[in-house]
Amino acid sequence: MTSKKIVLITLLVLVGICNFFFIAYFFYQNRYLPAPFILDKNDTFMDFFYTLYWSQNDGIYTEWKSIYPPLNFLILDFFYEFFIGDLNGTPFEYRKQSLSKLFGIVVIFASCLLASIKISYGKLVNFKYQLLLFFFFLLSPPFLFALERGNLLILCLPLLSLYILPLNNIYKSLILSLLVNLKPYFLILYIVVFINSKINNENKDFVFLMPIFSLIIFLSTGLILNQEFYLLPFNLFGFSNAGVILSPYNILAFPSSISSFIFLNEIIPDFKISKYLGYALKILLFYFIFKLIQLVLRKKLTMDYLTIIGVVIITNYSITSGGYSLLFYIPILAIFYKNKNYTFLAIISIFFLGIISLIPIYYNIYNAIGMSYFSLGTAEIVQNLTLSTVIYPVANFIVIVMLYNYIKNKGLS
Amino acid sequence: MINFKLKFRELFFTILVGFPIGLTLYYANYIKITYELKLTPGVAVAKEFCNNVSFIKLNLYTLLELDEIINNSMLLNKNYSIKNSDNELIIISVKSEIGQDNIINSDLNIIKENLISFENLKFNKIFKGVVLNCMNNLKLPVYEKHVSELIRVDNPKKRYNNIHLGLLLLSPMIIIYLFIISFKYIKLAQTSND
Repeated sequence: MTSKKIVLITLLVLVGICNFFFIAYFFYQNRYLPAPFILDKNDTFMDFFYTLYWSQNDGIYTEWKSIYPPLNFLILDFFYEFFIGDLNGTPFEYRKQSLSKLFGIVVIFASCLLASIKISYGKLVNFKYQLLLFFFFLLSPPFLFALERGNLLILCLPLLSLYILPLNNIYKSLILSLLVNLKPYFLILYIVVFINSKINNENKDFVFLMPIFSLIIFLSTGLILNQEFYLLPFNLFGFSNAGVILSPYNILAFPSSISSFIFLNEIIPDFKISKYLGYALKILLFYFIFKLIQLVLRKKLTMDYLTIIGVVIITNYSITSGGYSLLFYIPILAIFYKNKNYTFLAIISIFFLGIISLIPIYYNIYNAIGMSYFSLGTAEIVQNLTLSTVIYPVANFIVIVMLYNYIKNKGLS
Repeated sequence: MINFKLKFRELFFTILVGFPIGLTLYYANYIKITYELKLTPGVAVAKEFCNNVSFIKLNLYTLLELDEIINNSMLLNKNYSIKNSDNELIIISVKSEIGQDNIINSDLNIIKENLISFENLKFNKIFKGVVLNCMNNLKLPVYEKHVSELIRVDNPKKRYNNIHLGLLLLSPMIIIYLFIISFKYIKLAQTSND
């Protein structure tokens, strides 16, 4: 690493530290976490505890209509048996009874990030810089927000890093099938390879084995869980209508897709054009996804670039996984660094710069009194949108457009 | 190179190993049923007092208290949950297995006893002493007690439907089949690479 790069990465870590202190200061002043942390300040760690609660109860796929495959619940069941212990009551009571275990949960999530960095950057930079990168990503908005929710998506990071390593197709199939069994949207990574296999014979083992491994894991974990796991596809279809489930503030607090602009109109009714603009941008996004897929059909691409395309589509397409999915860029950045694609590196780094995400751009005139978990009481919560509402989706859209042009103009096979 | 077919001995192995596992899973879940207990909660009722036509009905326990009463009862089956509720009717569902009617009946009596003693206690403490000084200076008690009614619904529900049970029966064979074809594929791929 050159001295310029060392200065740059140290600066980035300092930005992360400033970001963290600003959040702490805001909390000290207002007794709740600032936007773009999700609007319901009482939901801290609840992605984790809702899932943990259901891992111990019947009705995962019938009552809760879960979109998580059985593997998630088995991991949490293991966690419950060997780490958390006997809990009872509602998911909120689970959280209350696990107060002493929260630090352990944070450590496990942080370890996943560390493992991901070790795997992805281990051969690119030395340990000192890996540690700096760890702190940079640890203090970044996507990680802090995923951590605040206790989102299991963080567990996918080491697996995604492993998937990007130059392993043989059998191991890659196994790793991706685990990923798909954690978060079904990783199926997009397979679909991209599948489409490319029409002109690229190198991945035919992967194309054959990955669905078989996935099915084996899905059925085995479903049998062990012994709940109505076959309803998962129907639940996934229902959840795709995210506007019904998530509030516009929650969608727009920390988005990664320009499709989310459709919901701007519900927050700012006077800004009527936003709905049409949102639909126009969505069409534009789908156009570029379609063009990228066309390229995948026509051009023989390396596994690295097929993975990049898959991750870029996942983050751009989904409004339900929100800004957390930007974490998947952590292993992807390693590929760009390795290939010296510094423009991509610079644009994607924007997602991890905290300060940008904290600058408010819109205030709701109606504030709400709500519970704030960290302050153990109520607080007058100001509903606002920050720069992240605009910058992240737009920057992510720029990534997809640039990627399309880059792959179109270069021979990557 | 892709071969989805099984040889006879592979098919035999799949059925030999997978079918008994599937059958065990099928039976273990086929006998799982859910009993339902219908509970009309005990209430304190006040009506037509002091010439005013009024009607007040207050439950003698909250859902949380009910949950606590059930949890603290010495029951043989501990898998009770309050399934759905309104003020008039509460359904308590009990996970059980075929042939455990006696256990459910015995538990039902214990719950009933504990509920009634709880509501007696609460009624005497809060509602019994409430009197109104009206109607020619007669002191009339305002509330009367209606005790809880708890009955067992006669037809227990099967916990899993036929799709679920069928999947349990077939899944072990499907898993073994998938293992065999992937193993054969990997072996063949490695041989051709060598």
